[in-house]
Amino acid sequence: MIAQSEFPHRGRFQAQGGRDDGIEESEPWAQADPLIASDGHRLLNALYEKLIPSDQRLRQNGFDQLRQFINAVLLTRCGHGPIKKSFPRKPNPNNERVDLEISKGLAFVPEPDR
Amino acid sequence: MRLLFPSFLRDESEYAGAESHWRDQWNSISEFERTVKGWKAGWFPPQPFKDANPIFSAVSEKDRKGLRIVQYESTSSNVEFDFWLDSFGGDAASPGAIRELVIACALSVESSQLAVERMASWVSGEIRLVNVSGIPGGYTVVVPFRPQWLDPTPAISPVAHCSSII
Repeated sequence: MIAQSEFPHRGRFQAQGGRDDGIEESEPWAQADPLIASDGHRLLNALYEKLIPSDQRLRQNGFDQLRQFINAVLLTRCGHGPIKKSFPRKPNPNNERVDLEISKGLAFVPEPDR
Repeated sequence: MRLLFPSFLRDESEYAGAESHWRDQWNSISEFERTVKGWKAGWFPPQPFKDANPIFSAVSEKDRKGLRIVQYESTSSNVEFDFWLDSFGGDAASPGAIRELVIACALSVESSQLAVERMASWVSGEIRLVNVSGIPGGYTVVVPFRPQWLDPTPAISPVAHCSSII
């Protein structure tokens, strides 16, 4: 079995921050091929669905900005790691946020030609 | 409050000016400490997106520590400044992870000064993450006592997301 750290393309989406200790949920990827943009959206949606509605609302702006970023990377093809970004860029009052981490490799590429 | 490069997201020369400003602030921190601990600016390679997310980054592979500065447009007449600790490449307790200080602010003379103080404390090791409870994952941010951080002038209201100040 291959350890996650051995895959050439890996990263994670994280929902963090909030009142008291806040939340910490994530959706990681680690794979042999670059992450396709549509799979990035799927993982991000899965992270969104992990949150309770109030946590979703508090991070709505962050999720929206991150979706736009994935689409921008898809067009420009510049998703080379390492990359770390926090959304929304201007933190919420209790720092409810969504982070993108591309630890290594390439992410948000187009579907391969069939 | 004196804003710096307020049109950085609309004006390329202002964006370059803001980048240069952050490099200068970084270089104002003890060169000895940065060198001894192996700090290098430019942790994350430059991207075509001029979104200032981040606008500056640095890393010490030796200390397994990083720094990321996110700049946004001012939305208030008050100083807008936040900072928190996070990790890159795994959870904070993971051996391969890099612990990072994240600073997010609207760039002004005042927020820049606050940022430099925290950057210097992070590089020197004054700001650190400790497990005081002994519970796995029960980490607490320890920030050095700075009276001016707790008692800002009315014009300065920095928000710290760090949970413990001693």
